[in-house]
Amino acid sequence: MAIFTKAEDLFGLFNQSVGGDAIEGGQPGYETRRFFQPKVGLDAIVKNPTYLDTTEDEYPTDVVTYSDRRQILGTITLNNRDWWENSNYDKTSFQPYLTDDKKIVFNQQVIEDGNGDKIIVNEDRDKSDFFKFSIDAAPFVINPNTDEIIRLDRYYDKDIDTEKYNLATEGKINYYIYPRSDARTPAGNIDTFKSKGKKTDAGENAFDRYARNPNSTRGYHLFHLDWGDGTPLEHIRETKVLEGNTLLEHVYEKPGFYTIKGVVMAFDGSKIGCWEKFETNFLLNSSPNYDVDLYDYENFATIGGINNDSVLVKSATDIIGINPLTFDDKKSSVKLVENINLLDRLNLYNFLTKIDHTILNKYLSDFDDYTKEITDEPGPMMMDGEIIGCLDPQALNYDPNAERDITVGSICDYGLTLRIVAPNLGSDAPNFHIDLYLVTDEEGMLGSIPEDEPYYLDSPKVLQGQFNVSNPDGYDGTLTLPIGAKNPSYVIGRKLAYQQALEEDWINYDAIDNNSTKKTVQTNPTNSSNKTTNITKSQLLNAKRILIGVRAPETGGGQGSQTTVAVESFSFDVEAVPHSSEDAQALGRNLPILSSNNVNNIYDNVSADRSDDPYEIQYSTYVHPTLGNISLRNTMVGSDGYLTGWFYKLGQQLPVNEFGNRQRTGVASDWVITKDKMNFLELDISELQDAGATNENGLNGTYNINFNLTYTQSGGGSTGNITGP
Amino acid sequence: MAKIHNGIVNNKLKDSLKDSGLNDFDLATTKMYKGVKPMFEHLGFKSSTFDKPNEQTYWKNHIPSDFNYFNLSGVKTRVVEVDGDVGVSKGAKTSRESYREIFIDENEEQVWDDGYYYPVLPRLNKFGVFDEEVDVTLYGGENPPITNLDEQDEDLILNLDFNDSDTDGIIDKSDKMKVKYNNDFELKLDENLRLFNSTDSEPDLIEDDDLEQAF
Repeated sequence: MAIFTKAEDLFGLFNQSVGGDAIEGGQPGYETRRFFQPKVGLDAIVKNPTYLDTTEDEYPTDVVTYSDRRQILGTITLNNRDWWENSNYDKTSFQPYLTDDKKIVFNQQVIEDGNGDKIIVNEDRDKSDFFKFSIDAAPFVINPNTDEIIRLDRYYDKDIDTEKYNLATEGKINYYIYPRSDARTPAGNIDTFKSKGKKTDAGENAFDRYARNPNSTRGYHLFHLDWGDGTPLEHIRETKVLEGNTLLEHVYEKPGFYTIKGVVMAFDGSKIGCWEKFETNFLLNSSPNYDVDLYDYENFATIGGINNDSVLVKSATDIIGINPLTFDDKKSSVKLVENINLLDRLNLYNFLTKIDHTILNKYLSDFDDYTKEITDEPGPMMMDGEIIGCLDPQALNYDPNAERDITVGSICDYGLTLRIVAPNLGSDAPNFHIDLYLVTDEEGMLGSIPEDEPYYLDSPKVLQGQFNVSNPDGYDGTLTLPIGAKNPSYVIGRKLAYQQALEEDWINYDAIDNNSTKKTVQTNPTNSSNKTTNITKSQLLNAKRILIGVRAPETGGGQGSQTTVAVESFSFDVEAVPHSSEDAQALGRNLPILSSNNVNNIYDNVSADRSDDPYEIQYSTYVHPTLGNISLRNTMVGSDGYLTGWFYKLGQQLPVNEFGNRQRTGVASDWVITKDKMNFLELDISELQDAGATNENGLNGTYNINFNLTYTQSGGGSTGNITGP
Repeated sequence: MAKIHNGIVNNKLKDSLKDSGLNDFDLATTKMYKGVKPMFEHLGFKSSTFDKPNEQTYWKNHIPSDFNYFNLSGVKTRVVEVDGDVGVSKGAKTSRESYREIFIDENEEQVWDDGYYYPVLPRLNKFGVFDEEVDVTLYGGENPPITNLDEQDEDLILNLDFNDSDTDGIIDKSDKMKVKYNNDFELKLDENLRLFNSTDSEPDLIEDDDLEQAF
């Protein structure tokens, strides 16, 4: 029960006035959908624009059948918004209502929509999301005793919903217009009854957001409002900017079915971005004060009666085209009365049915649906015809209700999912992390080998704090060693040591994370959902490599209680996850061909240290072009300020390089390389079958990759090793 | 499954007003009760004994409309022959013709012929005058429902009050029903093709002449 507080709050109160979620069909395999909303007179089978068996540009949304043929109440946005200039044309003055920026809209054109109907579109509509909208509205009255909002776009029964019926009568009504999301298909036609969310921007009513600049005329403007009761049009010379708190009012003098019509346009301050026409159908019941009383009593006794010769009977029959003297209906037809307000027609029918129902045979189609009792149950399923779907039980999207596949090709989806499952090691076991790295950049995770510092300089080297002729004791001179001079800080043999210890393409453990998508499962997680994770078909096929590593938990505890956990081995088994259908289970499944290899070149904490062999030396003298032999210095002044370095074995001589130097390789034994080898498996998917059609022995569906893990645990006050399962 | 609407056009009342024209009639006390109210209760009798046909006091055990006092035992006529000397001593005397006189035998029980019980009357004396007042208690009380315009009964759901000058004043004295006096009127369509009642409704006068009443 919605309670009225203030107009600003109305945006959050109203459900979609007509339509919503389909109660039958609607999935892509169904050609149609059924919308059932008896309170508004809606029970219709509507074509499904997402139906699979349509051509690429076909998006049908038209109604196939109306099972409830009462007037549908509620607000709809019209499929064809018509030329703007037609809406803006004043037929009485032959002039446009609006002028200047709102007089015309450029770049309008006629297109054929998804139903094959001709509609008008304008190019600017695609330039902003604000230009794509539909209109919903709520005509309502407020219960003076409870402040309950009584929607008028609902059928109320005088005996079942007596209070609402009596309040939803002629008099003053409130009318609230608000935006909903665009309901048009890519072909432009509106899917009228489908569920549409409220149109917001940054969480606020789009009306408010678009009109938030008080110095601009930008906003959604209401134009050409027709209350449907013969009163003059409103907002035709001056449009009204709609906001979240805009609440319109109108007084209806008579009860009846009414249609409010109007146009809402999105105006960006200089031009019209788009516009939509809307209609709101609602019903005002007759109050006790209404002077046309046609004996609409349910529970009554009468003294006296109604004679066929009465003026009442004669005038009633005469209005609908029946001969008042003979009750002859030769000249009557529903067509003749269709412009009479529906409630007046129904009242006439209701009255004349009591006089003699046989005289209304020609009008039965006009009121038959208003004689039926309406329930909130939709009754038997109405969807018929063939249901499109995937017939292959092996496929991911197998539909047991499907009767056929699409006409051309197949809609079956044979995607593949690997579900990684951590082993169950028991609740007391350590929590191992099994990491699957879907490598995206193989080069990026390779470890680097630092280059040696060359024995001879390949580029000039500037040294500060050297001998200065002008200040011989100051050692504040600058000396530039030329190309080819011996490098006072040469480092050689280190690269050779790396190469011998790691090989060229070693993988830096620390670099894997940044060059992979990591998926982790845990053997004993706090949250049980972390025991499994999925790898999709596309993730699998797009991975450059798939590396699998196991991390033991961090060792913890204090002195004497520290435990050490080590992984002894781990492997995996592959298991098909049955489809839900019994048919699928009976068919059996191909297993993916997956193997694994140990990866032996992943290292962590790699570093190089000089071995005991090199020893520190003073740098040899340098033959200065003008000063002759001079000693190179470090930046210290005094007798200890001689530049020192390390003596490395020279190793082999390399060919002359581009700088004319013949460098030396050094020897690996001058260095000690330390590293932690990390145990990894690599998943080999090179033999994996195509994830495709069953009849080609492909793979479909979900497969478990069940990991097995053994480990040892020592310390923590216990002796010996504990081996996991 | 819940019913949410009965339909705007009520098929259950189809033809309910067919051939119901009844335009020239007199109307008197009009009452409607909840449930069945037997006639003996309308007449004011309290005991169902009065509703048993084999009982003498059965409410319908009343004399036919063609009965008169001569159907009452002890009331009869007798012939008076030509009189003799009537005590006139002088002048011419014209003897009277014989004639019949009503004779009430005060020694007889005075019951109705054929076993009819009602109306129960006091004894007539020989002069044709009731010796006592009529005992209305034998008829179901002094103001039985059938004639009581101010009846109070929980089951009474309609009690039209015509005690006014025109039809606008007709009300239900039980205050349980809405009473509406309908006149014939003409329907028309206005410029918006909406129905309207083109006849000014005026109340009719209620006849207050006793001689023109229904009974």
